[in-house]
Amino acid sequence: MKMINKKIFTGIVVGMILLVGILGYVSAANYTGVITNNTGIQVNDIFSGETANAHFNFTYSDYYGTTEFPHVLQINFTSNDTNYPVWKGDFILNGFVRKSTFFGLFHTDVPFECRESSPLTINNSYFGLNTVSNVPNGTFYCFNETRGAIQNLDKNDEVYFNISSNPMLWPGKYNISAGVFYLFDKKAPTITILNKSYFDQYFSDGSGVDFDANVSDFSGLSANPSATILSTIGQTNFSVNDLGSNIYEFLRTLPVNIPEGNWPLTVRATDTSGNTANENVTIKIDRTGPTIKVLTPDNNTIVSDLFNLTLNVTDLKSGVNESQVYYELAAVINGAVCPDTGTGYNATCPNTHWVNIPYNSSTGLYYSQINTTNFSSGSYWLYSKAYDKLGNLAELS
Amino acid sequence: MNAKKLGLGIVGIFLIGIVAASFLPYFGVTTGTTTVSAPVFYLGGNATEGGVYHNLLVDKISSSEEKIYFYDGHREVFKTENLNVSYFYPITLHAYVWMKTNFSGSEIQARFLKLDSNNNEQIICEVSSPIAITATSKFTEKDFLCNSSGQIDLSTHNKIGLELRGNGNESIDYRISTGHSYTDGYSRIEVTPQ
Repeated sequence: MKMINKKIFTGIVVGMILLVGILGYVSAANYTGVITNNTGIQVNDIFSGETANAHFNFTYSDYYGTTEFPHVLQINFTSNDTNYPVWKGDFILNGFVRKSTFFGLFHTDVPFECRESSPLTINNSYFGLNTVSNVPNGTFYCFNETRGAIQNLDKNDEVYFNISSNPMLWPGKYNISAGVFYLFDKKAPTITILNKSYFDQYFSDGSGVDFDANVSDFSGLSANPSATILSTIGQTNFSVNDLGSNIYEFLRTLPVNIPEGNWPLTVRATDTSGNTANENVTIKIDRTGPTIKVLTPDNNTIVSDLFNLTLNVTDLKSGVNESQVYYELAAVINGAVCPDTGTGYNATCPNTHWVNIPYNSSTGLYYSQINTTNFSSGSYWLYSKAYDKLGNLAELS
Repeated sequence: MNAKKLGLGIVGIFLIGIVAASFLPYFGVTTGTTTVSAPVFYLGGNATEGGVYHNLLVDKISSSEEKIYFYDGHREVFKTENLNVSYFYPITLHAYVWMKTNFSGSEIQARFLKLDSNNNEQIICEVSSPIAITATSKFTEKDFLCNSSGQIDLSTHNKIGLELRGNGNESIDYRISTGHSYTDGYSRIEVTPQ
């Protein structure tokens, strides 16, 4: 009985510890991050023309995503003497954030520069251009553009700055305040369509288009990026697969009604801050079959036994499918052309059916020697047809 | 995006700051105070530009002691580097200079100057009465002052200087001590707003 009670008691204690732990975690997660100003700005008095050393630290909750955002310090100077307010050029600031690591045993210093020009543009490598339209006299913004403002101002990090004063600075008491700002995320995602030479080729209706793009953004994408062809039939949208490592695959079988021409294919991405980026390539649509010209024989030529059939077949866009050029001879009987039906030779109504014409690479022409020995005398109709590499057909009759 | 949520909670408090800054919200503020005193110009001994000119250091004591020697009828000028300021508010220039002479009753004339990059001089103010010095073996502190006539307009290449000129003949010599801490301080010029 005692053993059972002890186990129950132990369980209650463990449960309470777990509960307190969970509550503590939840509490921290929901904490709104109010800064506790526990030190104020420690700064020494100076003679004008001298440089004062100042430092402060904030203690605040950084639980709620602040590690994802760089910070900008705003330092304000005001004079106690209203007849001599602070002007631009009265002070020069610079400094660094000393970031403690591993329980404060180590630290790294992140330098920052301070500017008071107005308007002030901060070109942050992660968040793009942030502009302050009006910087009042006595106000400085301090940041590190290349390392992400002043990086993540963590709790217990110390901020040190040097305040160089102008020799003509009016003697008196000056109040200093330091605030922390976030930057707006003004930088659109980065989109790079990989292997753009893929679009050097022509596509046709029914063609499968499959390409990859690298799409990245520091703060993340709001959704998968999209790809769209804009042509006279409107938008043709692609499906997208997230392949990981910022690589997205875009797939689409082109619709049967996609018109011939060069059309913009746009990859578009939007980040979680609403910044949108586009990257374009041109997709070339070819729906025209080859051009066929009969070089021999001439029209209405009387032939017997063997005659030479020579075709010049060209296709300026996707090119001729050299293995898919054909001719057909069909007898004309009583004014009607013998149809291409059945197989083999039909002596009463002759039709050769479609016969492939080989490509002569030395002449660049298509040539066949046709044996008409078994053909009865009469009129024959010569057909020819050719496909381009995309399957677009051209027929000549 | 969480940071945005955080900021929205305190957006009302810091609305002015947000609007003015165009950044995401204020995350907190800390304050401090510093008292700025008017600058002190310390006479330095190191001669510059041919021996007439010497350093006048802003808020900085000369790193070495030097005794500057000159004859009556001649002058020595202590001048700052370029101040890189556009003006100086109306000031009283109060000099404390440790000096001695070999002839009692000698007098020195003092005036404060504005100099450009070519050492062209303009007078800021002139000490109204000559400074009388008694012949002693030790340096004694002489103080004298004058007021600028209103704000001193400066360009970035302007300097401020103190000219000391002996009033007698060349048989009288003067010595000025710089960079040495006496009981009443160094040779210096103190500035006070008018």
